[in-house]
Amino acid sequence: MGFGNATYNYLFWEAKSTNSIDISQVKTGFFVKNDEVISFLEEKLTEAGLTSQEQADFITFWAPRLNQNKLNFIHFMFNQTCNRLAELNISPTPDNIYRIYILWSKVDEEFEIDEQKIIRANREGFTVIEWGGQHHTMIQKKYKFIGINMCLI
Amino acid sequence: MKILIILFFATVSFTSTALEYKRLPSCYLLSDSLDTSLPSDSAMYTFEFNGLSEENTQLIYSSGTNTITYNFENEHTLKLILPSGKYKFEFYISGYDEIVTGKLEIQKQHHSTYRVQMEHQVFKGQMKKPVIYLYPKENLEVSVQLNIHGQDPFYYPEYKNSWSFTADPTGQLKFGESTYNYLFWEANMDAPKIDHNYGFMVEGDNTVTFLEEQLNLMGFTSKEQADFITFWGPQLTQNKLNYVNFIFNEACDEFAELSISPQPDNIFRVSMIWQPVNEPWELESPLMEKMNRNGFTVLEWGGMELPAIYDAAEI
Repeated sequence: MGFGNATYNYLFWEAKSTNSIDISQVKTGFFVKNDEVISFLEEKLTEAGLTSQEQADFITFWAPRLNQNKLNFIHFMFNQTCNRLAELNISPTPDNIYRIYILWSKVDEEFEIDEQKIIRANREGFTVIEWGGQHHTMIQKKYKFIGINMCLI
Repeated sequence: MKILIILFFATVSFTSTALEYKRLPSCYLLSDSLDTSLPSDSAMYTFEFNGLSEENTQLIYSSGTNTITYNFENEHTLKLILPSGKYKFEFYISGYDEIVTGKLEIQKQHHSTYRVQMEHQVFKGQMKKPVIYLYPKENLEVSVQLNIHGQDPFYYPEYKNSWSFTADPTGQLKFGESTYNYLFWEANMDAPKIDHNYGFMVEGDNTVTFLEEQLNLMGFTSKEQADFITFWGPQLTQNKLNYVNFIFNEACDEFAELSISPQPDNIFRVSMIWQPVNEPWELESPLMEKMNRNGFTVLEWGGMELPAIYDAAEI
């Protein structure tokens, strides 16, 4: 991407979100132990269709944070559902826009929940990938928006 | 019957003393004796400080109400004559952990001698997100080894005694089927010693402009700058004012030694050390370095946040 003389690999934004999502209300997700964080993210992001470079940006941002907890609950938000946190308008309209946000919270123990199905990116034509995430604290229900990277390819 | 009761009390008091000692290993009683040369309602404490060097000449102490600055004479010893009773002392010597004693009781005309063990203050920091970029002149098989002086390292991609991959001139690193733009590591380690007379005062709102300017001067490309700024920018922007300093090249060996084979023509390493501050103080411009990007070039950047400074007078 060229911005005058400067070239970037992605656009970046970050904000404290006002529109919170209640992670305790989600119906699907995963439980991930700290020593399985990297292999879990590699597996799911590969399923989602992210390249290894995009995966590295995602994993080096989130894995050291998730690694600090013995057990995490993870839920992904995809595409239109991400509009609840931020709407994204691109002109000219891309052929495919794919958005994936990770919501995660430290948990003490597993509870019953269905495993989530991962939606895969369609990368044909002018493709836009946005990834981001939000750290939650399930018990205190505090929401803080931590980061989103966006990637134009 | 009377004897039995006394024994019982003795046991209780012994147990509570033992607990006290467990909690306070940094200050303990060496001796306690009667000294009739003292005024009848007074008592004397002697504190012998251990673990100091000759340049530690100043002690700040308090015994409850007021705080007093005391200059050691020949020995690292403090003598205090006080009315008998119970006192809680606080001792502070610059560069050492502060010591807060439990309540130390002293009887009339007694002389108690305590040993105070001072420990060097070492702040544990997190060396965050060092990333390593490699740009060979042509496609090249490279092996990178890190010797991290720290704990709980995190690596990406997976590190097995080294990283081995093929690098191309655009900076893409091929590990089998996977391609990466950089190598990543992170670890907990001792904070470096920083000379706070040198550095930069950076207002939170001015962070991005400041970093772009400094990283440009160092010779970062805009993509490398973006990786640096999107990582550190949001953290520094949260504070009104930050102290910022940079550590370059060989000095970064303190955090981790980096061995690369084959030997690159130029390696440039930079760590940004920063901390939130309440108010600015006078600073001299630090010596800044610029990278040489000729030939097989390697760039590593990382950084560490230090605890906030609330009072510039401490510096």
